[in-house]
Amino acid sequence: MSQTTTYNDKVVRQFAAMTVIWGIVGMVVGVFIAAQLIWPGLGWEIPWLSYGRLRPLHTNAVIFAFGGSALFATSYYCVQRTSHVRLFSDKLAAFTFWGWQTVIVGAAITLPLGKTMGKEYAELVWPLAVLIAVVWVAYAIVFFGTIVKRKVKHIYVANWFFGAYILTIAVLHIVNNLAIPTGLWHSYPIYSGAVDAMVQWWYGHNAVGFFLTAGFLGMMYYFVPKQAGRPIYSYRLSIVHFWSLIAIYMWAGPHHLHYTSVPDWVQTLGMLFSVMLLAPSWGGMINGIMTLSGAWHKLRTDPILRFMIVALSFYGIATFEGPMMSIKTVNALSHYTDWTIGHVHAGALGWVAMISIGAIYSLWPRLLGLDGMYSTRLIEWHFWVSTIGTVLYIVAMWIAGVMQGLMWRTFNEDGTLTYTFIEVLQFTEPYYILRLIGGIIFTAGMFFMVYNMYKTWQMAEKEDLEVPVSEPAQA
Amino acid sequence: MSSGIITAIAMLCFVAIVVWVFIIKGKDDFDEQANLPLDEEDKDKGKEEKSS
Repeated sequence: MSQTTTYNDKVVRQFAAMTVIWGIVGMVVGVFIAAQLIWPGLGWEIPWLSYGRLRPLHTNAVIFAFGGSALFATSYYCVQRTSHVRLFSDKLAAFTFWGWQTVIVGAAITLPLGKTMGKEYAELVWPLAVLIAVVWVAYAIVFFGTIVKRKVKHIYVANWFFGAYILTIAVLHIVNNLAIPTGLWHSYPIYSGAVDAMVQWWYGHNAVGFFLTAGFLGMMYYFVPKQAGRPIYSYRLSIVHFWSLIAIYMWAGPHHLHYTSVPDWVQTLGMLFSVMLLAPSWGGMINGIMTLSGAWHKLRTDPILRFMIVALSFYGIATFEGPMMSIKTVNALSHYTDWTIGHVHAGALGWVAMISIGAIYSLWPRLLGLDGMYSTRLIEWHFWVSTIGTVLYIVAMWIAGVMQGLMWRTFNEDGTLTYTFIEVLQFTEPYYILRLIGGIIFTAGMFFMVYNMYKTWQMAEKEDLEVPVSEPAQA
Repeated sequence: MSSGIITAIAMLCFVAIVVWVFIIKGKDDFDEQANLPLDEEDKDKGKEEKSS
């Protein structure tokens, strides 16, 4: 079949496979550094294995390698199927795959070597940051090029979310990484002081808002209806959801800088916008969950759908918790404690990872021309393991975080601290062990997944299945 | 003063979107869009149950 009459599923297959591989790598590193917090001797004083170097490797691997690959795979799949055309350019699409893998391998080498720009979630040294920008522009060309040549009148709502994520990440990444190189591995940011902090958290929180939320909402808006076999609960709500979410998220960043030297009104602004975010977030969650209204029985038999619906529930938990934690008085307790880590992982494990896992399970057999995965039972196991792991993790961090916050601010009558730092740390240790167990359980599920995907791949009759493009839509 | 004006404009934009989506636009149009993920049956399988 000719190049224009089939979909480009090769690049989707590549990204889908790498999603699971990088997921395992990122989560294993996470488990290792969680163990280091309990047994600081782990790492045997080898600098490459020190916590400070491995922690950014963990965050970069799970966010950009695991989450990023999942987003590339699902956005490329969704934009082709809802536009009824092949991807804009096969060569550019292949470039985004190999370019992105190069960035990831580059990160895995430079971060343990201690080469870093020192900005959270933007640690990579400037040559890698430049490569990310180039790959991202190529991604935007492929995605929007496909939208432009679509054969369908409308742009499906999932593509609006994917589009917003691609566009915003380009702007955020480039602005936050502006720096003056002083060598191959070193550079100075062009900002300084409080301005640097504000730019960093404008970037940082919008990486959450647009990479980890808008992108995965795009995934949700395509794969939940697809897997449930019914349209989204309210298309109208999805439009209001989209515009209010992207308008509000942009301003929430300063809540990372409460009680710092950033102007007080900026902190209040960040807090207000964060509280407002509850509305669109829950609107989206309700829209996704209610898609199953009248078909709840499907949850009993379909663990893939269960992954997605539980992901939406965790999204609801995290987006209730987030606005609450951004309120200054709550933040006075929660900031700098493990509560923040618990909040992040409610979103990262519960929402991002579980919706990605669900989407990949839904996608993988379709990419191979099969009716389903090799083993539904294994998916079932994976579902329970993921859910239990996530709950253990966030409960442990909630308890640890709230107790840390309370102990740190307890004073004696003469104004001295009641608890020494080491006393708080000793109290925290059992919860760190519980967190480690949660992390190990969650990571174990990923091994079920990779095995299941391998066996499914073996079942495929053809490795390079070519699916013909749909007729131009009725519209 | 200026911040009040900006807040009012932002509020108006929101109301305008809600009015446009819920009152002005027709339902048929949205139903058609909402079915976009479903009308694609992956041809060779066609196992998706079509709703509506």
